[in-house]
This record gives sequence, structure tokens and C-alpha cells, in this order.
Amino acid sequence: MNIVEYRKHRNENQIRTCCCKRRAPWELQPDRKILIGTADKNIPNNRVETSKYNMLTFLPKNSLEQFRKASNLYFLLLGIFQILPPVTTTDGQPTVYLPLSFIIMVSMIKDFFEDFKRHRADDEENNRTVQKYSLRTGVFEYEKWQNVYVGDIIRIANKQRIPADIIILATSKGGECFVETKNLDGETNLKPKYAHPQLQSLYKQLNEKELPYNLFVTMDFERQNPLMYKFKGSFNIVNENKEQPKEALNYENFLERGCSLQNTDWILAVTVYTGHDTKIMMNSIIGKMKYSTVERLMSKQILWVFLFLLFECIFASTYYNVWYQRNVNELQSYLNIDKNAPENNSFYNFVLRFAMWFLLLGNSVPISLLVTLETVKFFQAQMIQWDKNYLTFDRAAAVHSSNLSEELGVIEYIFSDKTGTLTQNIMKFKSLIIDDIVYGDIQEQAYQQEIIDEKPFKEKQRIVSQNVDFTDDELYSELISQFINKKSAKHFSNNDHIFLSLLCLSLCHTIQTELVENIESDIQYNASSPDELALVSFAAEMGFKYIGKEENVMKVYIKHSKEILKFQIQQIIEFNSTRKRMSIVLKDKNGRLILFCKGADNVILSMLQDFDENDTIQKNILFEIKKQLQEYATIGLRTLVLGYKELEQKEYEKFLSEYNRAQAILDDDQLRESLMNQLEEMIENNLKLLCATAIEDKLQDKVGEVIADLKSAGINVWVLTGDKIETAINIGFSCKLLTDQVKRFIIDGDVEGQVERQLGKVTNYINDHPEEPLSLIVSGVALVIIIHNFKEAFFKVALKANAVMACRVSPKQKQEIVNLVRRLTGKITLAIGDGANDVAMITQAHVGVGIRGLEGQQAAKASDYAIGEFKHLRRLLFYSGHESYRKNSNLILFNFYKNQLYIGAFFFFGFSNGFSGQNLYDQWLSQIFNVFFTSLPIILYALFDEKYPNSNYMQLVQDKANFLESRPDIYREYLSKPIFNLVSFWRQFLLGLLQAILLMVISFYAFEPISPHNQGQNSTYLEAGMTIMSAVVIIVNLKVLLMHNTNYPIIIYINLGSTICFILFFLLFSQYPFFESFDLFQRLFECFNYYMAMILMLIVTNFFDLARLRYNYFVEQYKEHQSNNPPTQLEIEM
Amino acid sequence: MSDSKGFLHWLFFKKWHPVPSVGSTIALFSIIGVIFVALGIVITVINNNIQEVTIYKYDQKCSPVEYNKQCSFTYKLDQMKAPIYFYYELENFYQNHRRYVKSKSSTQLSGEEISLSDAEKYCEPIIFNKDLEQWQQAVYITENNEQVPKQRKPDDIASPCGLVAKSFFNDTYELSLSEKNIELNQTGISWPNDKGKKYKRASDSESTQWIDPENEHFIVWMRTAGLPTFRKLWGRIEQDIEEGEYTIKFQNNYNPQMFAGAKNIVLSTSGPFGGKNLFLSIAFIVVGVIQLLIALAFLIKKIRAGPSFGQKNE
Repeated sequence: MNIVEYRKHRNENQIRTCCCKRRAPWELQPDRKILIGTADKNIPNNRVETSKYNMLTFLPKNSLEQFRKASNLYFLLLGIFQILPPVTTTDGQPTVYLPLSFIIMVSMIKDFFEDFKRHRADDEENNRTVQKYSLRTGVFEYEKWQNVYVGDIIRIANKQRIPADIIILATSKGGECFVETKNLDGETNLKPKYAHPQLQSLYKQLNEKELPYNLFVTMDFERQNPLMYKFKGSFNIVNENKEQPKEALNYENFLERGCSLQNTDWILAVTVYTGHDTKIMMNSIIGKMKYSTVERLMSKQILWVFLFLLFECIFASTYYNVWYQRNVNELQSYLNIDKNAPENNSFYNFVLRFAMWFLLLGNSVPISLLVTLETVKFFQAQMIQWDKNYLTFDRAAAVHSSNLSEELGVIEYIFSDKTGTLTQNIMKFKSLIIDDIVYGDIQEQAYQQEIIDEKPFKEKQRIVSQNVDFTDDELYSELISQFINKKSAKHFSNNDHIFLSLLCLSLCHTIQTELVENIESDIQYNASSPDELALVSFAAEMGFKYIGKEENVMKVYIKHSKEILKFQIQQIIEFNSTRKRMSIVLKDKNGRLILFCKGADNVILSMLQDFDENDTIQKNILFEIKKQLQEYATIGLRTLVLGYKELEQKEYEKFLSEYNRAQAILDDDQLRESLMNQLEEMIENNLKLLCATAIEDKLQDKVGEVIADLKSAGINVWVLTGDKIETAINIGFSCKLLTDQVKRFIIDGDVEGQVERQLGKVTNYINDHPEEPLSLIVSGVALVIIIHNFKEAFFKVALKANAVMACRVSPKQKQEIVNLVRRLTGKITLAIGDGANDVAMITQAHVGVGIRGLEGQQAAKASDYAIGEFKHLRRLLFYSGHESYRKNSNLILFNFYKNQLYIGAFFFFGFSNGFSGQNLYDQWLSQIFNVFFTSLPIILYALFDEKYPNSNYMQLVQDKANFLESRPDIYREYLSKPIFNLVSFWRQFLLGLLQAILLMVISFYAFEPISPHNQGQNSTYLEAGMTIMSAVVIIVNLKVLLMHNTNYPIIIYINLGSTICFILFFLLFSQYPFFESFDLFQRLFECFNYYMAMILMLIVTNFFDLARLRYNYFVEQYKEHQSNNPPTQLEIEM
Repeated sequence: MSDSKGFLHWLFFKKWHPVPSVGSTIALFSIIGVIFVALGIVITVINNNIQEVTIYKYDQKCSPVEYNKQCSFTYKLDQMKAPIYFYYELENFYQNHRRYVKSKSSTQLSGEEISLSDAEKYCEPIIFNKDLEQWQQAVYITENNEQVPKQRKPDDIASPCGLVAKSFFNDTYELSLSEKNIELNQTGISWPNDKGKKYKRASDSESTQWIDPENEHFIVWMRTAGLPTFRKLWGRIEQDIEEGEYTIKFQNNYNPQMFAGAKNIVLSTSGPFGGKNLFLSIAFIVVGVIQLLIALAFLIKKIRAGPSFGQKNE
């Protein structure tokens, strides 16, 4: 391909861009082709915009957004009805807009500040500067990030952040550089990246002088895509029209936006993906809003309430029509309805009354409920974040979706990751098996949870690392004696397995470190896997200290002979979850090639060199190792097997050329991958066995205790892990998920028939012993078969099991399991994990909890709740979740009750006037009833009430454990008897209606037909109406006080204040003849019957409620007493 | 106040966690129950001291029944103590009908002139003088309820307009015992704040309005009742009356047959808290008894279930 062709290609693709037009989805974009150093301005630049609005669009766009919410739209329409003259019940004033505008204003202000924050963040990103090479002037100039285009050459200095996805052209370190990917995956270790050698030699000069005039390098690469850790491309150097072969570019040459350059003075790079096409942007999960079950149920019920409202309207308008037709002649005398007037038309009359009643009853959908709920949840989330009980290393819990606070109170399934979640992800090297000799003391420490003090090693000269717990002196003494014999490392041969094993341990890894001058000093290793860290630390402790890498040369300092061994890296075949092994090909100073490989035991053992059938020694060794590994696995140690292989130069070169060719295949992913796999397998095959290692995986604090509590709270705990079955079982035992009393079933077949048989066995067992508990362990391979063929049968069994562990499952499978359980049971699920591999399941579950651990922040970022340790889950569910559930449910129930009580009285008033649609309340006071008189007390209730307060004072910031944390039984009880469900909802709703009848009857008969005033004056309908209104304000506010388990003076005063607020408004409105309620306050104030009616109303509502509540309370206590199993009073710990 | 950090601290932070007990519940309900029953009895006693006489369908007492005529009948009354309130009572009159209630103009009633559009908006369907009753078109009713003949232009905006005003109840009454007139005081029958504030006569009332809005019978009528059977105060007898055959002379203007209802006269003395209210006395006693029953239910449950019922767990 030459320049002419390139230009042609560019012109063909000219059409597709215009900055303001919506771009086609990435799947439809063409693959890219650039000329390095020439900006492709057809592709959008590096500007990133995450904000939704700008100054101009905020008002229209956000308003539209606001009215997309069904409730706002509903009230908007209601207001329009209020303006229509024939139906208006409010003199044509849209009074409902008063509370509506308040509510919309609050939510707009919130949106405004959120978007403002996004703007600020965007601006900061876009206005960072980077050095960009200008073809015109031939020098590097500072340019804003947002002005970088695809194809631009940029220079990045040490510690700077990468502005876009780039391909490295040259580095200051001879083609190597290091990056930190903390922003991407949370890993803090440094990762090496490389410039292609040809590019390195071409471009390293650019730092000093400009590019040769006739140098053209074109690059082909894939279209932008969200696949992380992947890049496919190639480049072509076109020199004086002489084309050179295509060279492959891959992920090793690729740097993502968001990383930062470390330990490297500078790099030159070409931009390949910009702005929203970068990997990090394409992977930014647009948080799918999660709604809690309570809220979803509520929304559904609102719909039913709405239907009920329509029914009421139909009833009212029908009633009126019938009543009117019957009394038409009598009414004629004082209503003066023309014979021909539309009102005499039944249909018109019906529609008119319907609209009127709709207006009058419209408020039974509580306008303030959604805002109240949102506010409450927001502050509940804050209170979790302020809670000192959640502190881990001074970091508090973080709440990302405050929507879910009550969902935490009704969790029935927990899916937990193992590594980093149940375990600390701190690996301690425990044991080494070389040939058939076992070094290291494993004891029973795996079962103990307390941190064992490091035993000081006898020989003090050894470095003691926190990743090594190796108390066996034998190996070290053996080494010392060997070195005394042989003096120097060069005298060791490949048959010295101890020497070679330690060498392998110190070399076969991808750990980064900074080269230190002083060999004896401590070295900071940056490891992406804690296992590697344990291995390398162990080797160092044994005197084989890896001291770093220089220009592809790894250096190991041998302490015993005080020499430095150097090995040149030829090839690293990295670890991944399907390969389950990594290899490194090294060349020693004699030019010999050696391949070290380490990996999962079954993988490596299957790749070993065949040996003679009669070789009993080999057979024996293999047998011993297998036996020992099995033993380790059952006590929960992680095992690895190491092997090596000497390579012939020719053999390696053949591999290398084929491997490179395979890597350069761009157009066929599958072909490339399978080809690479094949080649890798070929070179790694026929290994010689070196040694096996065992590493202990330490449990997190209090994991066992918490899991036991979760189980006794009626929560099913499933562990989904990528680990092998044996390890998982062991962790299961040590965290009390599995016990010896419970029968265990393992489904690990890898063919259909086998899985079916195993599944059948479990099914039979359940049919025979329906009451017996059982636990189920299933492997990932079996799970694939199950999900294809035996989904129903399996989940029938699995949902019966009281513990389920799934082993060797991929992230996708984790997600699938969560999804299936969620779908099949309809129960509320929670997923907890700490790693990037848990993100899928965390987003899938109803509630996702992320643990901020060593494996990075990705899980925590994607989660709804981020906590520091697994043990915090107990407080999160039993206290925060439970209390939120109790209070928020009550808040919703209360709101519907309140509005029914208020609106219901109104409806029943209809019976006294033929449902003509007459108002009962002062319309202005009526509209602010919900927002000003009755919402603050319930908000305070939902924030500060505590069932079991743990101190004498009101606390915004909690600092002690709550009694509830020690009472899984209470949680369990709420699971079996939810306080918010269909029944309780409609019970409260109907209770409101019923009490409304009482209010209506009492107030009217207290005022009519006699004169209640001692001067003999009459009362009007409004007096009865306002009596009901004041009673409702007092009743509902008092009801909140009755709901309180804990009372504070301030809250009681605020509660009273709400009522006083009503009284003041009432008084104010009574002063102006303009209002209907003119003079009413004074009249009622002086009226004895008013007080009598109020007292009666309070008693028949609140007081009778109280009797019911107390009765339930006593019966519950009584039951608890009667049950022979009084709850164990666990000590409340910090 | 375990901490001596002062009132403010107590106010904001001190909390208590009340634990209900069966004993306190029983006590609470029985005490309030007893208070209720007692209150109910007190109200009943007060009610019994209030004398209330209803003269049903008084218009039927003249024969022949003719409207817009004066008429009189005699009625035997017991001895009553002053003040005695004189009410008229209408049955089956839906003053609470929405169309009726809203058909008036507050602005006009407070003495201001209103535009035609306002009149149409608020007073529909009684807008012009011609929409009023015949007699209303030819009269001016003064504050003291005297009728002065006055012809009005049919196309002027009626003042006061609207259905409520149009249906103004215009019977008048005189009461006498053996030729001796007993005075019915007709002032102070409306709410003091209504007269002159919400209801104000226009500056040229006599020429533009058919009734003086400060006429108290009018004000009483304009305050619409909440139930279809209602009483309205017409006058006060400020002297004790003896037992005897009283003559009630009335101007029989209002025809209740138009709305298939009835008009009655009610004479009532007043207790310390207004008129007789059977509902309250019954309601208090019933609610009080229910509370006592609740208390009893708790007590029985407690006795049956033993001491652990309602005991707080330790």
C-alpha cells in the first residue's frame, strides 16, 4: 500500500463524519487506517463530554426530563384540568402547581449541581496539555488534550497521564516503558509495555530532530471497540515507495487512556483511538438505574390506586347522574338548570362530574411521596457513609445507589466471590515439594483465623516477608551445604533440582521492580498476582533474590555465592484463565535456552514429559506429589506445579517465526487465537517436573461468624469462585458454610451423561430425605452443561440446598447464575465481590456490594455499596438495611394512609350532596397540606428512628454496633413476614378510607344541624371540612410519633411544629375575606364542639390504632417468650 | 438528663425508647375510657337541660295553604329560659350542591361592582335582574329586613347575583302570647366579622342592589349549610317565656313544595356549648365503652396468657 492508495482510502471514508451528527454504532464503523503523524480529522477529536446539558439546553432539556417522570406529568395534567372553567374546583387557579413547582425545583437543583460537577470534570480532562508533534513546524508543541486527533504523534513525559489510546513508537528505555493502570483496573503494580523494535529505531531520533522527509508509516488497525486488553493492528514502513512487509502490533504496544507513564523518561506515541472511542470510555458502564423491590411494588400499587381513583370517579359521576335525574324537578327550583342546558344531557353530565371528581380526588396519588422517599434515601445513604462502624483503614463505606437502602433489608440470596472477599488475598508461602521431599510445616494453621505471629526464623540473616510463612530450616541448610560444595552457581547443573527450582521461582513471573543499586537492601515488588509475590518473596528469602530487569535482562542475586545471574528474556507467554499457566523463555549467558513454566497442578502434570513405564523413581515421585497436592488442597492451600524444559535454538526460532506470524493475523480472531494456542501448547509441552508449591490463602476477619449469622437469618449464601473444587470446599469449611453433618454432593462431570447421573443422585436424595439439609458443589464445566440441558432440575435441587458453591466459574457464568436464581425464585439477591471478574455479577444482582480490596477498584466502582471488608455485610444487612426497610416501608404505607384519610373524607362528603363535586376544604390550604404540614415529621422518622438505639443521644454519625447486628432472627422474621406487601399496602389504604368515614360522620354531626355556637349562630359546610382537615393534620403527625420507637425532644417539637405551621396558615387564611375560610379559625377556636369532635376523631383513629399495635407487639413478645429457643444474646462487638 | 450538658443538648440529642407494657396500656385505655363515658354523661345532662321544640311543617298549619300570604297559628310552648333561639329549618334543600355553592360573587358581596364577565364567571346562571325571582326585581330589602318597592332594570347585573342569593329565604315571623308581642331580636344573628367585612353594602345600595348585603338574614342564608337538612338562626328571644298557647304569625313566602321539602320552626335554649347535640353524647359514651372493652380484653388476655404476656424480654 502506498501513499496514493492511502489518500484514496481516506477520501472514500470522507462522508462519515460531522461532529454534530450522531455517529453510527461502533460495530458499523470501518477498520482504521492512518498515516502516522497526520491527523485524521474525519474522526472526532479527543474531547470527552459526559455532561448532559449546557447553559442553553439545561432549562428546556431538563424540564422535558422532569415531565418524563409519570408523576410530574400526572400533576401537570391535573393542573390543566384545574384551569378549565367548567370543571375547575379551585376558581380556575391551578393550585396543584404550587407543590409541583416546589418538587420540580428541588429535583432541578439536584440535576443542575450534578451536571455542573460533570462539566467541571470534563473541562479538567479536556484542558490538560500534552506535547504534540507539529508536521508544519517540525517541533513538539503543547496542545490541549481535546485537540488531539487520531494519527497525531505525541510525547509523554514520566508520571504524565496518557491522553488517548495510543501505540508506542519509541521510548527512552530502548523500546520498553512502564505504566500504572490504577485508573483502569485498580492494580497498582507497574506493567511493562514495548515499542515495536522497528518503530523504536525509526522514531527515537524524532526526539532530537524532525522526521526524514520521505518517511511514511501507515497503520492498519481495528475499529474502536470496548474489548479491554486487546489490540490488533499492523504497520507498514513505506520508504521511497519501497514497501516493506507488514509488521504486527498488539496489546503489548498499546496504552490506554487513563494510565500513567512510570519509571520512563519519555515515550513517543501515535494516537489511535480518541475521546469517546477510547477503551476506558467505551467501557464506562452507564449505570443502569436499579430500583428497590419496595419501590417497584409501590409503583405498581400507585397504578392500582390510580385505577381505584378512576373507579371512585366513575362511581361518583354515575351516582350524581342517577340522583340528578331523580330529583331534577326539585333541584330545578334553586339550581335553575335550563331544560336545554348541556347539564341535562346524561353523557355530558357524566363527563363533567368525572373530570371534577378526578380533580378533587387526584391527590390520592401522593404528590410528595416520591420526593420524600428520595430525600430520605439520600440521607440514609449519607448516614451509611458517615457511619464509623464501616471504617476500614480510615475509609468509610461508599454508597453509589442510594435507591437501594431498603433492599438490603430483604436479601434472601447472597452470591459471594471467594478471593479477596472471603479471603484476604494475602498469600503466604507454606510449603515446597522437590522430588518427593516435602519442605515446610503446614500444620493445621489453615483452619485458624487469628493472625499467627511470625515465628522468627533461626537464622537471622534471612529476610522475613509477610508473604512467607515457612518455618522449615531444612531447605536452607541443604542449600548452604550445596553451595559450600560447589562454590558458585555455574557449577550447578539441571539435575540439581533444589537450585533449579529456586531459580525458576525467582524468574518465572511478571513482577515489576525498580532496579536497586544496593543488592542487600529491601526490594519493593509490584506483583499483579499475590501468588507470584509469595513465590518470589520465598525465593528471595531462600537467597535467590530477584533484583529487577534491565533491557530485557532479568537479574537474580544469589546470596550464598554473592553473584548476580543474568538471563535474557526471549518470550513471555502470559497467564490467563483458560491456559492456567505461564511460561518464560530465557537465555543464559552461555546462550542456552530454557523455558520455565508454572501453573495449576492438573494442567502442568498433564503436560509433563512421558517417562519410561519402568522408571519407578519418576512414578513414585509423581505419585507422592499428587498425593501431597491433594492433601494440601483439602486443607485449603493453593498449589502450583513448576516445570522446565531446555530448548534448542532452532526449535525456538521456528516457534518464534510462526508465533509472530500468527499474531499478525488481523482479520480472523478465532483463527489467530487457536493458532497461537496451538503454538504455545507445542512449545510448553514435554516439561520436566521441578517442584510443587503450596500457598495459604488467608481468610478475612470474622468471615465464618458472619456467614453463620447470615445463614441463621435465613439467607442462602452461595460462593462463586474461579478456584478449584478442593480449595473451594476447604474455604467452605473454614468459613462455616459447609459442615461435616451436612451431606455434600459434587457435580463436576464434564460430559452430559455424567452430569445427569450426578444430578439424578442428588434429586433422589432430596426425594428420599426431603427434610435433610445438603450442600452442593458444582464445577464451571458442569454448569455449562447444566445451563444448556438441565436448568430446571438443577435449580430445583440448588434452591433446596443450604449451601451452594460453584467452582471454576467464569465472570460470565457468575452473572448467569445470579440471573437464573433471580428469575427462577423471584427472591432478592445480593452479589459481593472485589475483583474485575465480579463486576458482571455485581451489576446483575438486585444489590451489588463491592469490596475495596487488593484486586483493584473495579468491583467497588461498579457496585451499589462499596465496603472495606466482608464482615461489614452483617451491619449493612442487619442494621442499615433492616432499619431502612422498616422505616421506608412505613413511610410509604403512611403516605398512602394519609392521603386516603384526607381525600376519603372528601369522597364520603359526596353522599350528602349527591356527589355534585362540592369541595370540603379550603382549596389553598388543601394543596399545601401534603408538602408543608405533614411531610417533615415522617422524614425525620425515617432518618432518626431506631428500633434498638445504642446510645442515649441522637446520632448522625454512628459509632457503636447496634443490637440488631446480633439478632439474625429479627432479620429472618421480617423475611417471612414482610411489612410491605400487597396486603399491608391495601390494609393501610383501606384503613385510611374507613377512618375517613368516621371523620366525616363525626365532624358533620358535631356541627349540623344544630348550632354548635353559644351565640346560636349557624355553621357552614366549611367548618365541618376544616375540622376534618385540622384533625387529619394532627392525626397523621401524631401517628408518626406513635410509629417512633425512639423519641427525641427535638423531633417531638418539630412534629408539633408541623401542626402549628398548619394552625398559623389557617389563622392567616382566616384573616382575608378573599379566602373561603375567612373568619373560620376564630369561630372554631371558640367552639366547644370543635374540640369535642377533634378528641373523638383522635381516639377513633390513633387510639384505636394504638390498641392494635400494642396488641400485636405483646403477642409477638409473648411468642418469643413461649418459643423454647430464646435468641442467644451474642455480645455486640465493635 | 444523665448528662449535665444543659437544656439545648437535651433538646437536640437526648432520646428515650419507650417500651409499652400491658399494665400501662390497660391503665391508659381504662382511664381515657372512663373520662369519655363521664364526658358523654355530662354532655347528656347538658343536652337534657336544653329545651328544643320543633314545629314541623308550619306552613301546613294554615288552611288553605297559600303562599305570599300572612298566616298565623297557635302552638303550646313550655316554659323556657332566655336566651331562646328561633330557627327555621329546611329539609331536602341541597345548599351544599356544587353548582349552588359556587354561584355567588365574593367581590360583589363585599360591596364592589363587578364586571359582566365576572358576573358570568361567578354567578352563572343568575346574572341579570331578569334572572331573579319576580318579587326580587321589584323590591329593595333593607338591613332591617323591610321591603321597599323599587323597580329595577331587567338587564342590569343583579346585585347580589347568583343562585344562593336568588333562593333567599324570606319568611318572616312574629310571636305573641295572648296579644302581647314577644320580641324576636334579629340583630347579632350572623357572625360579627361577616357583617361589614365579607358582606358590605355598595355605596349606592338602594339603587343598584335588591337587598342590602348587610341584612343579617341574608348573611345567614349566604353561609351555605353542609347537609341537606339544616337550620338557620332567625332571631333571639331575650326573655324567659312562660307556658302557654303562643300565636305565631308568619309571612308565608317560601314554598318548600318546590323542592319537595319541608320548612319547620325550631325553638331552642342554649347550653354552655350551644344547642342540643345528641350525637356527641352518644358518640362519647359509645367510644368510651369501646375503650373500656379494649382495656378489659387486654386484661383477660393477660390473665389467660400468664405473666409473660407483654413482658419485655431480657
